[in-house]
Formats: sequence, structure tokens, C-alpha cells
Amino acid sequence: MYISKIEIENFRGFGEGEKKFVLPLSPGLTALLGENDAGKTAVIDALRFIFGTRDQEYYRVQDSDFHWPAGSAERRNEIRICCRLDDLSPKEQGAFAEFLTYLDEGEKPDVALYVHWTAKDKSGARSGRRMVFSEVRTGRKGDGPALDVEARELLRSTYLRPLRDAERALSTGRGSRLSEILKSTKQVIEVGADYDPEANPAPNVADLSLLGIGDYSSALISEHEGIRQARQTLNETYLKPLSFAGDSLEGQISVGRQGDRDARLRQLLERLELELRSGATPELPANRGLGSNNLLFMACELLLLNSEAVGLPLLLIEEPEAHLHPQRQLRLMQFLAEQSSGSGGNGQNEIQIILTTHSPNLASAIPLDSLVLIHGGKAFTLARGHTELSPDDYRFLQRFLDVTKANLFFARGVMIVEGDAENILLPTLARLIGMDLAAHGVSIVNVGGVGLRRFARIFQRKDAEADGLIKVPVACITDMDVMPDCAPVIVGKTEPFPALKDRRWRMKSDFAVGELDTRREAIRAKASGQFVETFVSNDWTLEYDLALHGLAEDVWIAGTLARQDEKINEPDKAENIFRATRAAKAEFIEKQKACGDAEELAAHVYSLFTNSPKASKSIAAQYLSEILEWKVARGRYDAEALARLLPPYVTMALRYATGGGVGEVANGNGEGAAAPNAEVAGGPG
Amino acid sequence: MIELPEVSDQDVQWACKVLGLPETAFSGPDGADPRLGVLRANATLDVEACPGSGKTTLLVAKLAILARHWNAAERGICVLSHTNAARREIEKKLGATSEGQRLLSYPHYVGTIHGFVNEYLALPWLRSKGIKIEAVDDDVCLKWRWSKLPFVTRRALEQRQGSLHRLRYLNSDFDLGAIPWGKGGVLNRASATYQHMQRVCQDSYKAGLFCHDEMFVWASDLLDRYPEVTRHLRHRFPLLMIDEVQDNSEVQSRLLQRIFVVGGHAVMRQRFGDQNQAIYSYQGQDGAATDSFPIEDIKRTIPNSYRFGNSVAALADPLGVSPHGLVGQGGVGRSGEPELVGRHAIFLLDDDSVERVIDEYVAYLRQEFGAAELSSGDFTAVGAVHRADTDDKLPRSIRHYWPEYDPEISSAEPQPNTLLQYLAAGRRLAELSGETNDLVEKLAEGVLRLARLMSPETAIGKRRRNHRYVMDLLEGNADALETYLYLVRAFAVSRVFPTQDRWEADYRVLFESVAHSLSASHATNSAANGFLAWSEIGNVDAAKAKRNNVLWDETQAPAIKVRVGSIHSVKGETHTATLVLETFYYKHHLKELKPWLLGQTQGGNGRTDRIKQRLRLHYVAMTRAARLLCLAMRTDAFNEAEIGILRENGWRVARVTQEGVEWFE
Repeated sequence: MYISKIEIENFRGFGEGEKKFVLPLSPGLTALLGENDAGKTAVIDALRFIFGTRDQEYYRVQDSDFHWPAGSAERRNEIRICCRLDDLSPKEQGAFAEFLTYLDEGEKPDVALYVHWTAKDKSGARSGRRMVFSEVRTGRKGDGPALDVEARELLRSTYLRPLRDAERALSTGRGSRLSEILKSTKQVIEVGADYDPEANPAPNVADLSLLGIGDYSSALISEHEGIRQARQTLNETYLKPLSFAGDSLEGQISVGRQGDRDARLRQLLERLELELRSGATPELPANRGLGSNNLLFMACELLLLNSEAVGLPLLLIEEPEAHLHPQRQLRLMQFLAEQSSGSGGNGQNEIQIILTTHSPNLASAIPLDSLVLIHGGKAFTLARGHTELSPDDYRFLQRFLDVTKANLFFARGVMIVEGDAENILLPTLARLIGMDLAAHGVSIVNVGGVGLRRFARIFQRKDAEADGLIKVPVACITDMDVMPDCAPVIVGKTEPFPALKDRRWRMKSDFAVGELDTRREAIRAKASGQFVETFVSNDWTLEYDLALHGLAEDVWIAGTLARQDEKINEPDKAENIFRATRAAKAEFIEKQKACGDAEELAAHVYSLFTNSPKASKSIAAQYLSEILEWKVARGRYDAEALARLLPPYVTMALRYATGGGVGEVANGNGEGAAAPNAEVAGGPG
Repeated sequence: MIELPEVSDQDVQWACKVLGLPETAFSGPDGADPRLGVLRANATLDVEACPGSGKTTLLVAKLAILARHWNAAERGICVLSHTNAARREIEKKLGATSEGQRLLSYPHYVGTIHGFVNEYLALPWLRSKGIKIEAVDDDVCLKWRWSKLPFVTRRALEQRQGSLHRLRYLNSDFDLGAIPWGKGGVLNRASATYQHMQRVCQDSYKAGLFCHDEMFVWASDLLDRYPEVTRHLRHRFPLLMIDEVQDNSEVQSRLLQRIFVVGGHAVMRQRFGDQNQAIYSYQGQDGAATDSFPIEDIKRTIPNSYRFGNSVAALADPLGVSPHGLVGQGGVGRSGEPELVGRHAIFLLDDDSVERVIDEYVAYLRQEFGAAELSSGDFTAVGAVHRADTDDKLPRSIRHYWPEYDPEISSAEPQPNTLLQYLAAGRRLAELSGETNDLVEKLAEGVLRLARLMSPETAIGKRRRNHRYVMDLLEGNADALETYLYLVRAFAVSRVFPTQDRWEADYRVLFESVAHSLSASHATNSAANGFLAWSEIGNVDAAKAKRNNVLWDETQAPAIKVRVGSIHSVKGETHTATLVLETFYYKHHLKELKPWLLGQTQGGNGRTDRIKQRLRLHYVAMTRAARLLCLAMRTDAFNEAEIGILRENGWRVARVTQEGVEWFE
């Protein structure tokens, strides 16, 4: 049995009707990702309300749990949480027979269990007192019978809170979690015989049950010679003179375990504690680090969860990354994934795990189709079939979506770029023109030349109608890759050029009138739609376009410095740079004079990166960043002036990713986003 | 099949203690009582238990012991019966124990067969089909269907003695079966009339209105569609106990067998009943042919009764359809008064003296019992027929003995005809229990019925808790809620007896206004005039107050009361004394049983069904009495020789005349 769907209405940030929270789930592991306050914890808390938790903690519904819609004068007064459970075993169908819903949907008759939890705030209706009534019902529409307390008990989930105090939970004491866990372990109860004080000869310890050993040792202790004598002295020397005749006081010394079996066993178990030792160095004192104890705690809870045949084996974990170093986080994720796929442990009842995390580390370790983005009060599962990703995309991303890229799940805006140069340069450019990426919560994902669109499709929904849109602006930046007609010679192509079909590069004259726009639109369309937008360089590549639009000198100098990077890094670096820059500047002035137009000049600038000795684009980007920062600091450019010098597609992409929309000046050639309505309004011919 | 826990001697002792019984209640003084074997039985079996054998107590004891050792959190015991007697017994006797609490809640089921079928099969299935269940109630449902029929269809039905009772379907295709039409004819299924009738049935299904028996239709429908339901129900309830199994109808028996027995993995089943006491609520209803009770191979018989002594046992035993040789181990008064051997009497009456019979019975009670038993005893007069349409062939019904007798409020769960009768029935229940709850519920039920009468088209349902339901429906309508609560206070808390003037002037209008708020806007008050009509429910100060079908005799101290009712209404009861009244259905019942009363024949083997049914009814009636058994029959039923035989068999015989009684000495 597993939860296949959660619906939440009017709970905290989640609204109702159109704005309700809907999340379809698959068996196994699900990770809820999202920035702070997105509602991850609200989902977990909703599940705690509806199913209750095994630590028997009771949660009161708070005023603030009722949704307060923006702009509304008052809070909503009814929270509704509904879960659908599927895949009930015959045992479970029996256990919930009176609550089932029969599904006449597919070929195969099937049943599901719907659980509805509602909390109504009736404060003020009849008196001023605060009154919140909650009830748990069943049936598809919640019109079925109320779920009995005992039946609901079978659905209790295990909840691991963030930053839990694992050490306390694992140490001795009344009601320790460890004692509870041990008490529900079959073998603790069932293996071995009870201690029979009448037995003769004395029992063999190996045959006794845990409680039997406890009782036996209690008996042995109270019979011990030392104890016996002390008792005798106490009674005869002190208590006897203090007694009234015929009503003698008598002291007994015992271990203090009394009561029925249950109570004695509990007392025994509460004395146990669990500590962690490294297998390699067992003689060292126990490891008491928070992280290790957390692991231990989780292991215990899993032990308990695994021991039950009926019910909902649901494990809720908030921020499992707490206190764990990255490698251990990965190990933990692996383990949880195994447990939840039924392949780990005895796995008789597959555990469903729902966790929240802020850790790109964890996010990158969890299969993509187990992730759920929580954004804007909505859930967006990345499970297969719900996104525009193809099966091949899932395979690809599973390999390439690493820690550095996984932060895209937590961003408010995303820029997906194809190379290091963009990765280095864009944050600087953004900051210098007043659109700081960090301040806007924008992540840059550098896909390194492959899979740009696959990453973008993570943010595109298959059924946007039903799911809504992921309102995270995703700006993809890619090159147009068409050189001016003068460029091929400059970058070393020899005439006559091969036929069009025999070369991979393109120049402007390869295209008839309008074909350039068609090409640009085709590139854009490959990764655009919903909140994903692709920004195509106006002409060729980032470096060329920067040079063409107004930073020719800066790019020239940066490229030249990059060519001489090794030499510059020799001793006297500042002096080296100064000299090299001065030389480069002179060279640039020469080039400027020699060139007929801006395109030719820009092509020469770009040839630094194509003609031997090739300048490294990423090192050049580094130099260019420094140059621009220096110039802005010196007041050579202000933000506005710099923005005007940048190619439009760069500023538009930055504005888009930082939440400024597509902007007035439309993409590239000025049409892309505002394509005229092509529908013909003609009547019958 | 599951292994039940071993029942130890300590368990049995513990059960006796919590049930407040002597230690040997189940084992018998010699430890050989068949009850002990039943308690210990760990297999499918049928228990044939005679009247007064403490069958339900035995069942409850068994359940208590099982509950004590029950470990499974998700599997339970299913206890089915026709009434909630077993459930009430558990609430009463075990309510304070944790075992009792556990038995009454998840994962166990203790309740009626109808309740079980509804809860586990029909209702989940209907809900799954998207039906919102408004009411499972014959009256509500049939009236709704009738009101939806086109006028011509209603006329056509009425002209051929058809009525709303024809509007029931037999399967999920809404087949109504063969409808008798005209002289010996059958209504054509293709006719517009038949189609209209089917359509209203279909519409009522969509509106969420159902007759009780139609729930079986939907349960079967579910089993057809999802045969594996039986598998998971058998897993859920590995042990099935059925009480009063002799009353199972064919439909019930077939469905239960399909759910729990047919195919592999039948559950363990223990049935308790008495074929001699198989009587049904409706004339013409018959017992189950499927899976009949008891199965001889696994039968255990409990022939010894703690209710009556051997003197009653000897008189009643021949009337058993298959006599099990009743053994009387009771019959002694509560303070040790000796068994009334030789005092059981037959009162002979004629057309003129029939109304004197109950009075003479009262006089005889005063003669035979001491003051203590008279004031604390439970005295009854019962007859097989309590409603008659003609006044020839006296006495036809209970009414002929007592004209004020009101059949409408006699049964435990009556269906009153007026709002005041609802209140009266509620008062009766409230007096018995001492709680206001019963009265409030009846009042709410009456208000809902009123609302339905005023606008038959709206689907106002019935709920288990009608008062809450009314409150919910009125939420948001502060005025109506206020009025309703005022009425509840007046009638249920202050126990107002309205005078006719106040009823007509005040209360009636208030009830109408509440019902108006509950029903559709186009509700018509006039439709409910009959339901709101005045009838007396208050106190009548007379030496012999006759109210709630209890006859009070306060002519002498101590005052005694005699409950008057149908045999059906006293099933399962124990009385101090019972008067069995002659009544008429095709023939006079007791007269037809003369050979059995004379001891000339016994058992019902090879007899007609009608005779068998007579035997069972009167066997039930005659085995209620713990101390004194009386019959009332027509004088012309016997000749002098036969009266002599009756007296030899242990009966006293008296003739009731206008002047008093004349005993045959």
C-alpha cells in the first residue's frame, strides 16, 4: 500500500479550488525540493495530520494553519487534506474493507482507500471560544464512514524531524524511543522462555527470554549474600525496634522491577542504550557525533517500520542532510532508495519515503523521476510522463545532473549556458548592469556544450493545463553560429570554400532573405515554451557578439592576455599585465584602422580564439570580467552605458532570468516572442 | 481457517464473574453441561439452543474470552444477528471492561446482517459508483418513487390493486420481476407502465434512496464485479458467529454463504439458533433453504432451560417442530418462591366475554403471585395477529381483547403514522432507558418525516443520528434552529404533554415551520395534515390506564402492569407470566394446534408450512413464561372429554363469562 495522491486545500500557503495543492506520488522514494517557505514542510505536516505519527505526538491545529488568501479579509475556516492509497494487499483490503472505494476504471477491477482529513474552525460561530473540529473520513468524496481510531492506528507514519535530538532518543530513560522500538521487535517478545522462580534446577540462561533473563538476574541479585546480609541488618537492627508489636516493618531490597510482564519488560528495555562504534576500532569510546547518531536513529526507525505486515509503511524525513557530510549524505540516499524499492532488508512491505531537502547534494543523488519541485504553492513532480522529458532525457540527466547543476532545483530563476565563458562572464555582466544574479536567486547551470535543452525540459510540464506552470524563469543561452561573410578567411578557412553540405560552418551569404530569421526561430523554438525561453546570440558566438556590439577593444585585450596567460603568470604579474595590455591596445588600434567595418574588426577579435595560438575562452572570460569591473570601478562605464554596449540577447536573457520578463525589445531580430497572429481571418473563398 | 486460543478454566471463571453469573453457569454443577463444550469449541459448529438456555449470554461469554486473547490488529470477529440484542448485551454486560470495548470497535463487527451487508459491501460499492446515499428506508424510498410516477401510471396501478410496494427491483438491471396485472395476467415488460416504474427505480438509485432489501442487490452486484471481495473479507473476519440463525431468510443465507463459505478458504463459522423458534417478520416470508440450520454432523444441542421449570417444559415441548426434549431447570421465583406446578391455565372465551379475558388474567395473577412478584414481575399478553380488518370470527386479533390496543407503537422500532405517535414512541423508549436521547431522536425522526411529506420530491435522508442531522441541515438558518431546539427542550427535556388546544394553536405551527426550512421551497403544508393531526398521547387518569400498550391495573395494591403485544415483539424475552391469546389467520391458530395441546401429537415433521409456522409462533409464545403460562381460547374449541385430557396434562381450565370465571374442577 502506498500513497498515490495527496491533495491539500486551505492549509498554510495552499489555497483551494484552482489553487489547491495536488501531488501524484509513485511508490518508493519521493523528495520534495524547493526554496525556503515553498511549502515542503506543509506537505509533511499535512501527512502528519492525516495519518498521525508513531511517536504518538499530538499536534494541535493552529490558527496559522488555516490558509489566508492574499488580499482576503479573513482566513479560510476549513482545511481539507485528502490522500489516495493504492496497491492494497489482500490483507490490507480486508483490514480496510468497509472503507474501500471500488474503481471501475481500468480493465482490471481495483480498489483504493481514500482518506480525508478536515479541520473546521468554528470559533465565534456560537461563542467566542476557539473551536477546531477535525475528522477523518473515507470514500472518494469523503462521504464514506469515519475511520475508526483503531483502523487509523494502522496508518500511522514514522516521522523524523529536522535537527532531531538523536542522542536523547537513543539513550536510556523513561519512554525512550529505543525501548519502544525494541518492544515492537518480534524477537524481543517471542524468543525464549520466561523465568520460573519455582524451576529446579535453575534455568539455563541461554533458554530464557529477554524478560526471563531480567527477572532471573533480579532474583539472583536479591538473593546475593551481600544484599541478603544488608537486608537482614536493616530489618533486625533498625526496623524491628521501630515497629509496633504485631505490625512489623520489613525492608526488601530488589532491583525494582515490578508490575506485570509488560511493565517489567518496558523497565528493562528503558535501561538499554544504543551507541555507535566504528568496526575498525571497537576499543575506542563510542562515537557521539550528531551526524552518526542521526544515522543510527534512522536505522532504528527503519527496523521498526519493516517489522509490520499490514498498514502504511510511510517514512517522513525532513532534511535528512542535517549533520551529515556530503559523502555520507550520498550513502544515506542510496540506502533509503534501496529500502524504498523493496530490494533492501527483508523488504516484505515496501516502504514509502517522502523527504524534504535543501541539499543539491542529495538532490543530485536521487533519481530524477523521484523529485518533486514545490514552487508557488504547487507541486511539480518530475516523474515520467509529467514532464516534457523523454526516456532518453531521464537517462542522460541521471548521468549528467551532478551536484553543481542540482542547485537549479532550488533557484528562483535559472540560466542554462553552454560553456565556461558564459558561466564566468554572465554573473559579472549581470552585477555590473544592476541585475545581480545572487540577489535574485538565479542559478547558472553550465551544461558544457551538451544537453542544453534536456535541462530546460525539466521545467516544462507535459500537461500544463492540469498541473499549472513552473513559474521559474529559465533562460537558455545559445549561439547563432553564423559568421559574417568576411570571417571565414580571417579565421583561416581557405578559399574556395567547400559546398554548403560539406562544411559545418555557416556564413550570412549562405542564407537567402529571411532564412536567418527562420534559423534563429528554429533554434529558439527547440527550447522555449512555458517559462523556458531561449536567447540566441544575434550573430555568431558570445565573444564575437560582444566585440561587434561595443566591447571590441575589451574582448581583444582579454583574448590577447589569455593567449599570453602562462607568461603573464610568471613573476611580476602586475607588470606583465600592464605591459601586455599596452601592447594589445596598440595592436587593436592598428587592427581598427585596417578594418573596413565593425564585422571585420569583430571577426579579427574573434580570430584570437580560433587561430593559433588559440586563446582559452574561459581564461579570456576571466580577464574580460576583471577589465570590465576595473572600468566600472573607475567610472569609465556606468551600468546603463555598459548595458547599451552589450548584445541585446545577453541583457534580455539576464532580465528574463531575474524576473524582468521577456521585455519590450523582443528577442534577437525583434520578433521572436511577439510573433504576429498568423491565423487568417478570411471568410469562405 | 484460524486457530482460536485455548479456553482455560480460568477464562471460563473470569467470564462468569464479569457477566455476574454463578461459577457453574457454563460448566453445570457436574461439569458436564453442553455449554462448556460450546465455549471451548475451536471449529465450525451449529448450536441448537432451547428457549431460556441463555444462548446470547453464552455467545457473549465466548466473545469476551476470545477478545481477551485476540492479538490481531487488523483481523476481527464478525458477529451477525437480526437484532442488536447481542450488541446491547455486550454493551450492558461488558461495556465497562476493555474486552467489551474492544469487541465493539474495529477490527470486529457486531451487528445486524443488514448492517454488515450495508457497511462492508453495498455502501462502499454505491459510494464508489458516485452515489450519495440519502436514505436506506423502505417508507422514504417507496413514497419518493410513487410521487415521481406519472399520474396515469399511478392510476393504472391503483386500478389493479397495485401500490407503491410494486416499486421494488430485484437486480442491478432494475428488473421489477413479474407484476400481476388484471385477472391472473402479468404486466408486459415492454409496456409504458412497466418502463415508468423501472425509471423511477433508476432515478431513486441516482438520488441515493434505497429499500433495505435492495442493499442485498447491490452487495451481490459488487460480488459479481469484484469476486475477490470475498477473499479479503474472509481475511478480515476469520471467525463468523451468527446469532438467531433460524431467522435468516433465503436471501441472507445465500449472500452470507457466498461471502464466507463458498469456494476455498471458508472461515470458521459458529451459528447459534433454534429452528423451533424460526418466526419471520412478514407473513409469507420463509426460512432459508440454502445452508439450512442446523447441520446434523456438527450440531450441539442445549436442551436445558434456566428460564422455566419442567411443568412449562412439558406443556411447550410438543409444539417444537423438532422437539429437543426440553428440560426445565428454572421456574422458581426470584426470592425462592416454588415452581407453580399445576397452576398453568387455559381461559375459555366466547364472543361476549372476549374483552374480559385480560381482566380475568390479571385477577388470576393476583391470586397466584405474592406482592413482591406482582410489583416487580413482567407480565404479558401476546397474540400472533395484532391487526385485523374485519370483526367476524372473534377473536381475530389482539384488538378484539383490548380495543384500545394500538399496533402502531407495539414493536420495538415502530413506524408511527402521526407526529404525535413519534413523540409517544419516543416517550416510551425514554421511560425504559431513562435517557432523553431516545425521545430526541424520535422527535427528529418525526420532523424529518414531516419535511419529506411536505415535499416528497426532495431527497431528505435518514441518519443514524437524526438529531445531529437536523441540526446540520438547519445550520445557517438561526431562526429555524432556534425553533427546533425550543421544541426539543419542550418535548424531550421538559416532557410537555400538549393539550389539543395548544397543539393546534402553537406546536403544530412550529413543527411545520421547522419542516418547511428543511424541505424544498415549494413544500405544501396540506400534504402533511394527516401526519400532524391531533391524537392523545398524554396521561389518562383512570384506574386502568391504557397507554403505550401497557395495561395498568391499579384497582388493588400493588399496581401491576401487563404488556400487550405481538408474539414477534416479545422474541427473546423472559416473562414472569405470559397469556397467549387466540388469534385468527386463515383459521384460529390455537384451535388448529389442539392435537399438540392435548398431547396427542408432537413435532411438525411432514406438516404443511402453515402448520409449522403456527407451531413455531406459539412455541415461542409459550416458552416466554418463567413462572406461569396461560392460554386464551374459544370455548367451542374443546368438548368436555378434551377438557378432561387438558386437565390431566397439567392445565387448569376456566370459562370466562360476564360474571367472572368458572373453573372446571
